[in-house]
Amino acid sequence: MIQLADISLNFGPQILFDHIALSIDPSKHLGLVGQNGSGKSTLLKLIAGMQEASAGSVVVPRNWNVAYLPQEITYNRSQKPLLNEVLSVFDHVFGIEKQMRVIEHQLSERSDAELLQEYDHLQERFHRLNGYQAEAKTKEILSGLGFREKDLSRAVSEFSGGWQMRIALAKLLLDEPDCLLLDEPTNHMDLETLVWLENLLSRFRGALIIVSHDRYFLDKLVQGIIEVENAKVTLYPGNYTDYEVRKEERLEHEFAVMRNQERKIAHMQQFIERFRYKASKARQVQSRIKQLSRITVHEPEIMKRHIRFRFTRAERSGDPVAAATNLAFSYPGTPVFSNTNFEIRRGEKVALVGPNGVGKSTLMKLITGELTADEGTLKSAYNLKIAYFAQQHLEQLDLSKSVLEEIWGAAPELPRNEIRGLLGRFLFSGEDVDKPVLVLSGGEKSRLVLMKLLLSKANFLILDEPTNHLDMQSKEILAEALDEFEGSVLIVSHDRFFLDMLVTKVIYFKDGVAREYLGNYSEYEEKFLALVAAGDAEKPLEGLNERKAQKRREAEERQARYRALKGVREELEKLEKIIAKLDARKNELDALFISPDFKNLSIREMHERSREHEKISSQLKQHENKWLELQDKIENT
Amino acid sequence: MKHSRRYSANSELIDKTVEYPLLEGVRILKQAANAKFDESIELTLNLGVDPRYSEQNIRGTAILPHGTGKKVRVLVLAQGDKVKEALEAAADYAGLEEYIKKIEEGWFEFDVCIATPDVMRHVGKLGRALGTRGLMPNPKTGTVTDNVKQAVRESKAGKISFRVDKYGILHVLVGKASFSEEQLADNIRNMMNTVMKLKPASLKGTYLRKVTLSSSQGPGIKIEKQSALA
Repeated sequence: MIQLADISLNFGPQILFDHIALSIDPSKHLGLVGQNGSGKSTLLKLIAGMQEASAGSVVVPRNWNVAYLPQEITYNRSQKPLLNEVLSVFDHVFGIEKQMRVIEHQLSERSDAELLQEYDHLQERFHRLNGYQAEAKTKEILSGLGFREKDLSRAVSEFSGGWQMRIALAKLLLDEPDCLLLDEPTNHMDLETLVWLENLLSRFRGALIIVSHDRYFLDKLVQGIIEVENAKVTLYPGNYTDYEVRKEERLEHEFAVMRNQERKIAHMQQFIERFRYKASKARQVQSRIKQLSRITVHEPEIMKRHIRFRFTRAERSGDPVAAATNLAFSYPGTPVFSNTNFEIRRGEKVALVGPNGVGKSTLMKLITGELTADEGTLKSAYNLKIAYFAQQHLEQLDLSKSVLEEIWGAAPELPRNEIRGLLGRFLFSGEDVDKPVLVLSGGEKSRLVLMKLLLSKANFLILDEPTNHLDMQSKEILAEALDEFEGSVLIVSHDRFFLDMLVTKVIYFKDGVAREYLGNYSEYEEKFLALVAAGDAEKPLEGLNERKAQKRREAEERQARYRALKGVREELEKLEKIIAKLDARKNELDALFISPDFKNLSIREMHERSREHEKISSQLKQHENKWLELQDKIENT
Repeated sequence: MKHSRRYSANSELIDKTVEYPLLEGVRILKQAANAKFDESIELTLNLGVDPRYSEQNIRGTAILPHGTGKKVRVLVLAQGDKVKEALEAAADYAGLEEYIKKIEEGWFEFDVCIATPDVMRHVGKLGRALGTRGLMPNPKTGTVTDNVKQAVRESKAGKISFRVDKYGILHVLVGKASFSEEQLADNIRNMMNTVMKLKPASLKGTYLRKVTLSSSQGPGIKIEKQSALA
């Protein structure tokens, strides 16, 4: 069991952890969640021993092997072939093998008991450390991570960022650690690999802590969620969905506590005010004052801060935004895709999916005009302004500038306070805006680039993996904002949840042809997996009819609801009119009662007025009750 | 998991919450081992050891008085006189270069591989091929030895080698369903006694945690520890 006891950590004035405690069971699989910059990566580094705490201790059992996959992999420039590089994990094991070879040679000259025993000892260690299976296992894991046979002999430095991460992951998995710490391993991962990793990790016997913003992935894998928030960590049992429910309950509870406390305080203050100058109660008042000063005000966790995007309204483009007819493209010697037809209409949100290296980025580059097609045509609309969010978006940032300078540079025409406000909405507040871009966390950098995108006034957004590094709340808000965005959006993402919230069309690659599927991502995935299971992945997918039927069903339901409530609504309107009338009369009477004119009335008139007032009050009460009833009815239907 | 009708019927014979005395356990086990072939009987011992510590890495050999019921095919890698000696002791194959070449080409029609120390430098090359299948000759199991004759005889007579897996569990084959109850009980007791002798001196906690018997396609039966040790 790993124990974190009373850990505190601050970077300058910023307190990252404030006296936290956490224990991690040897075989528990845990998810680590929290907002960007809340300290998730730092927590993993603490456990991995790569970060010193300001106070407190991290206790890792003796002879535990803790493996850590960082979020941003340093590029491995080794010229070694892939297989050898990954096998280097077993270097110490192969050392044993070499010793065995030496002894085997010695055995032909002398075979005394001592030598035999040493040989036995080495053999046993070699066996225990899986020396015999090293190569087979390495190949199995590499192929699971999506490497092909021919990749095994390629030099490590030839692989791109996403693949570099997989190389690092393969090495970790082979090392059979007791505790595996993975910082966003699902970034850059395609569906097939994701499913494979899910399976592999679910069989992992050691302790696992995984940072991921993919809720499906977490739901399938973890038995607990560690939440980092406001410098505290909390462990919730259950998967991500359970966590959300519990979190909600907890928040409600905290609010209830706060309200109770407020009531109590108000009560005491009232007491104090009322009896302050009464000698007989002086003692009690003094005691209340003392009590009041002792109460520590209960504040619920700060309300979730959300990103709020609002894209500057861009000019409309033509329609369709992009239309491909018999499109084909190949790099010298390697065909990428051919015979490809699709259309992206104005305002459409489209997902572009397929395994890594299948041509998604190429297609995007064709659309942006960076590349030209070999065959076929790709028409784009007039007045099209494209903004591109690249996977390796670090190139789009100037690391030496501060956050404020970086954004101001993108929109120099805006006044400083507006820029600050905008930054605030993107969760860069206070001193954050003066931080250099260099020190931002992965998620913060992503937010910054998305923000620059927003300021670009484009009407066609091409987003290559925009959700990598973003936390779940930011993702939900991003999806909502993109949904409201009037222009068109083309997204490459492997995040099922994010795509489901947004897209209505999927362009997918299969066997060198890109095809369209009309429907959201989950539907596509279901169909796709079913086809793969049936060994019939070539068949194009049909989703249009079903979708239409679904829409019709929804519309019918809506209408039925409307009809059922029509009468109620009418009654409600009538009531509201009556209530307004009565209210007006009541106010008139109230005014009359306190005006000097009232005294000029005769006794009889006075009586009449006051009776009328009573009557109206009781009527009002009745009507209001009725109104509430009807309102309830509408809300509950 | 969905089980066959036969398996479900067999499961009814057993009360999963009860630890049976050895003889009764064996009797039920034989009754439940009614697949279409002669099922093997496996003894599983859950040991409270952590095999990552070398002294807790329980392994060794045991001689089963009634054999395992399998015909053991023995390959002896040796040269000179030793080849003759091996064949006289009824080894199935004996020789050196010829067999090394065959194994390199993927031939594995033997259950035990015995080698003399002087040829180990050649056998070492086969490490990966033999090691993965658990056939690598090893001094402790008596398969790296000059006394080829004895090694072959013992293997033929039912000598088995065993080692705990990485979770501290030991699986050994102790016979066939066609064995008599006494034969099986004999083999099991013998095996258990061998394992008990290997208890590491430094061990804390219980050494022998659970004893379970099962046939190839039958349900597992828990056995009372004391009755199996007697």
